Amino acid sequence: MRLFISPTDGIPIYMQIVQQIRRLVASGELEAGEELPSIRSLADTLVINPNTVARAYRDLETAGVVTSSRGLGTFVAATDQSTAHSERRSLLSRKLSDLLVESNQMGIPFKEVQEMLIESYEAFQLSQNSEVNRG
Amino acid sequence: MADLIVEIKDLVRTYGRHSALDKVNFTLERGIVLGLVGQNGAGKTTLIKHILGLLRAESGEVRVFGVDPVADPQGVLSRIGYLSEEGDLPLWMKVEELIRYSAAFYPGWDPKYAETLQKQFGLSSDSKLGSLSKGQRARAGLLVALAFKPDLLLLDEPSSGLDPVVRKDILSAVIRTIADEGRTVLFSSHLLAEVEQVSDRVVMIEDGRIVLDDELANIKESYFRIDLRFGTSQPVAPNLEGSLHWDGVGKDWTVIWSGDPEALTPSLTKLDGRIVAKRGVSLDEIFVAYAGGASKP
Amino acid sequence: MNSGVMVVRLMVHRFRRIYFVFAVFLVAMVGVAQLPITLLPDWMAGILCVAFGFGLLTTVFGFVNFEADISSTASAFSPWLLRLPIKTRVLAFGPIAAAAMWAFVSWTLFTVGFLWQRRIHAPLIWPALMFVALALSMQAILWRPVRLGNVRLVLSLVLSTSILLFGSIAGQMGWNANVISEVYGCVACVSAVGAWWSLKLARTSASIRIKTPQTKTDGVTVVKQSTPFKSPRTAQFWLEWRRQGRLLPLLTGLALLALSIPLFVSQDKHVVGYTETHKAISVNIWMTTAIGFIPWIPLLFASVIGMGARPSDIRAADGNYHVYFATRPLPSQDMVRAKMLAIACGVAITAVMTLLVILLWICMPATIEGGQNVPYFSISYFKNASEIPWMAYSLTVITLIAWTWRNQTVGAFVDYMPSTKFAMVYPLAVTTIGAFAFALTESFHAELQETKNANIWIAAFVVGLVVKLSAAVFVSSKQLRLRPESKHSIWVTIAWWQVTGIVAAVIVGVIRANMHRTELPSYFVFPVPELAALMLVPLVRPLGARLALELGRHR
Repeated sequence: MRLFISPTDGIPIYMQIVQQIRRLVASGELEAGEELPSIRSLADTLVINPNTVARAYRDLETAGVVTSSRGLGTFVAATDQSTAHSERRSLLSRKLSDLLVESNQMGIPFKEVQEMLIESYEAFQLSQNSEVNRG
Repeated sequence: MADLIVEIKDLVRTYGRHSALDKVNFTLERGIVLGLVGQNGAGKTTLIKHILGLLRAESGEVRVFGVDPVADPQGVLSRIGYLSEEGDLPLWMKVEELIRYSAAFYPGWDPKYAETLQKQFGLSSDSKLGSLSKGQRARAGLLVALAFKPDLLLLDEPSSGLDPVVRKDILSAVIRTIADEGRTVLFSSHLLAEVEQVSDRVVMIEDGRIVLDDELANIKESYFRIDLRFGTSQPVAPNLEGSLHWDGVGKDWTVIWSGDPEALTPSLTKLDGRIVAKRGVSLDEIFVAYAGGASKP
Repeated sequence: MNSGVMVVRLMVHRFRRIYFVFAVFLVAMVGVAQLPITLLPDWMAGILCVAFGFGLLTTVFGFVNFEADISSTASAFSPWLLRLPIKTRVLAFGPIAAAAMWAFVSWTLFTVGFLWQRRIHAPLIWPALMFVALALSMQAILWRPVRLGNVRLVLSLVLSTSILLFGSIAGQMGWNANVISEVYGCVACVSAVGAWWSLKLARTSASIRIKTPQTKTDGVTVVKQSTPFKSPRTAQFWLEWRRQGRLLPLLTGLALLALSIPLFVSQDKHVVGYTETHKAISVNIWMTTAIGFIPWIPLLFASVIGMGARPSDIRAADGNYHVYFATRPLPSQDMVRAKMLAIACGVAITAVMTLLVILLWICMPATIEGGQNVPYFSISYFKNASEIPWMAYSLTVITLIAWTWRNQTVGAFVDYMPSTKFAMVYPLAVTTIGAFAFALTESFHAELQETKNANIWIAAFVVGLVVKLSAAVFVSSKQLRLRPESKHSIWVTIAWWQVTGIVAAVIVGVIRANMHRTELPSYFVFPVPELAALMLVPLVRPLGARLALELGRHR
C-alpha cells in the first residue's frame, strides 16, 4: 500500500490518509478483508505521529471503511456492491464539481463543456482500442 | 485526565528591559508530541531552559513531572533526554567515553539499545567527537538522549544545519519515542515542515508571548488562504475581523483567514468583493503571518 | 616594511591601549627613578618592578596572540590574518621583529633607566635576550597547528619555564654572562625561523583539523564494550580526573624528569664541606644548585593551570555554563565533591612523586676525599650541615605541597564562575595582591623580624581570620537560602577546615620545636605560625565554589 503524505499541504495529515485509503478501497487496490499496516509501522514508514495514524484509522472505522479488532489489527471492511458503488460515485462527483467550478471561472459555457467531454471520450476510446490491438 | 509532564504558570523572564517571557502559561500532557515554533529570540530556548532548570523562575511557577526542576535537578534531569543544536557535546570525548559517562547518570539506561543505535548510526567507539562531522555529532547526541528511554524527549532545534538523512534519523527517533507508552516529546524547530509532520499540538511564541496553542489538526482545519477579487481597487488591505495577514494590490487580494470562510462573505459583499479560491495553509504561512510580514491588519 | 607594520597593528589593534599604557608607565618609571629613597622607598620600587614584569610579559605575549587557546590543536595566529594576501615571510616578519624589539627595548630602558639609576646592578644583555627568546619561542610553538593539543600545552609550559630559569641557574653555576647571552641569542634565532615555519604550516594546512571529519560510511563501525561506572559520582570523578586532576602529576612528572637529566649527564662536583677528619666532601653541582627548585615546581604548575592554561570544562565559550555538563542529573554538591576529590588525588600523587624524586636526588653519591663514594644523605655532615638548612627545606616542601593543594582547590572556585572575564581577572588580581604583599613584607623585612613587632603579625592574622570567617558565614547563608538541605555539608566543610588547620598548625609547631633557634626568622614565635597555618587552609572559596555552581546551574 503506497501512501503519499504532504505535511505542508493545507489538508491535515490524518485527513490525507483517510482520503487516500478511501480511494484505494474504492478503486479496488485494497480488497475487502486485506489487512492494513499496524499504526506503529505506518507511522514509522511515513515518519509521522502514531496518534495521527490512530485518528485516521478511527475515522475510517467510524465511516465503515475498515474494521479493527484489538490485538488482531485493522482490516478493510467487506462492503456490499451498492455501498462501494456509491463511494465511487461520491469520489467522482467531487471531481466533476471541481471541473464545473473551473469551467465557470474560465467562462466556458456548459454546452461547450459537454461537447469537450464527448470529444475526450471518443479520443479515449480510440487509445483504448489501439492498446488492445497492440497488446 | 492525563497527567501533565510540564506545567508552567505565569512565567516571567526579563533580561534588562527586554522581556523574554511575558506571563507565559504552558502545559504539556503525557504521550504527545508538542511542536514549539517561533522566531529567533522569541523565547523558545528561554522556555526550554526553564524546563531544564537552567533558569530560575523570576516569577510564576515551573513544574516538570510535578516537581520544580531547580529544587530537584537530579530527579527531573534523569528523566529528560535533551538534544540541542550541535548536541553541545564535549569535543574531546571519544564516543565510547561519552556513552560510558552518560550511562552512569540514567538508571533506565539500556546498553543493548545503545549498542544497536551505535551500530545503526555508524559511530565508531574510538572516534573523538571533535573529529566527527556535524551530522555524526548530532547522531551521537541523539544516542545518549534516547538510550535510556526518557520520559520526556526535549529537542531544541536539533535539525539546524544538518543534512536530510540525519534529520530523518531525528524524526524517526521522535516517532519511536512517542510510540512507546507514556513517553512525551517537546520539539522546537524552525523547519516547520518537520513540525507539521510529527506534532500533535503546536505552540507558537512571539515576543515572549504565546500567540497560538492548539492541536495541529484544528489549526489546519481552521486556517484558510482565500483569494479575493474586489470590484474596485483597494488602496490598503481591508480591515476584516478574523483575518491574520493580507497580501495583494489593487483588486486582487489574498488573505489568511482563521475561522469559517462563509463568515467572510457578508463583510465581503459590503466591500464589493467575492471569494475566487480558497485552500488550506501550511504552518510556514501561518508562522510568517503571525510573525509579521508585508501587510498586517 | 610597511606590510610588517600593518600586520602588527592589525594583530594588536584590540589591545592597543595596553601597549600605550605600558609605554607611558615605562617612561614614567624612568622619570621617577632619580627620586630619593624618602620619596620612592625600596618597597614601592619593588612594586613598580613587579608591575613592569607583568606588563612586559603581557605585551610581549600580545605579539603571540592574547586569545590563544594553548591546549587546542589549531594555530594561535588569528585565522583572518592568515588569509591576508601577502607572502608568509612578510606576514611573519612583522610580529617576530616587533616582539623581539619590544622585549629588548623595554628591558634595556628598564635596566638602564631605572635599575641602574637606583644602583641595582642588574645584567643588561642576557635578560633582554631571554625575553626575546621567550617571545619568539612561544610564537614558534603556538602558531603551529598540531595534532595533540596537550603536548603543546606541556611543551610551552616546560619551555617557557626553562627559558625563564636558565639564566639565573646558569649564573649560579658559574657560567659566563656572555655565554648565557649567546645561548639565548641562539634560541631566539632558531625560534624566529621556527615561528616563520609554523606560520607557513598554519597557512597551508587545508583545514585546522589534521584529520578529515568522519562520515557514516567510513568503513566498519567498531563498537566496544566498556565497563559501566558504579554510580553518577564515580562517573563525575572520572571526568574531573581526566580533565584536571591528572594534569598536575603529569606536568610535574615531566618537569622533574627534565630537571633530573643534568644530574645524570653531568658529573661535575664541587666541594660542599669537610668531614670531622677534614676530608673534602664533593657533590654533583647540579644537585646542590637545583634541589631548591624541586618543591616549587608543583606550585608553579598549579598556579599556571589555575590561571587558565586549561580552559574550564563547565564554562562554554560565551561564558555561560556548558549545557551538557550543567544538565548532568547530579546534585551540585556531588559535582563539587568529585572535583575536590580529583584535585586531592592529583596533589597526593604529585606530592609522593616530588618526595620520591627528592629522595632520589639526595641518594646521589658524594665523594669523600680519598676516593669513597657514599650516598649524600648518609654522611654525618649531612645531618649537621648548615650550608643547606634541611629542616627549613622540609618545611618548605610541606608548605609548598599544602599551597599547591590550596591553589588547586581555590582554582575550582574560579572554574565555576560563569563569567570568562572573572576567570581572566581573578588570577591577575590575586597575583597582583600577592606581589604587593610580598613586596611590602620584603621591604619592611628588618622591622618585621623584631620580636617586639610580632604583635603586628598577630594583629594581621586575627583581622584576616575575622574577614575569612565573616565571608564564610555570608557565603554559606546564601547557599542555605538556595538549598536548605545543604546545611549538613556546610558544617562538614567548616569542620574539615578546623581539623586541617589544627593539624597544619601542629605540624608547624613540631617542626619549629625541632629547629635551631638561629635558623628561624624571629617572628616565628607562637602563635604566629599556627595562626598562619589556620589562615592558609582554604575555607571561603570551596564554599564559594559550591555557591558559584548553584548560581551558574540555575541562573
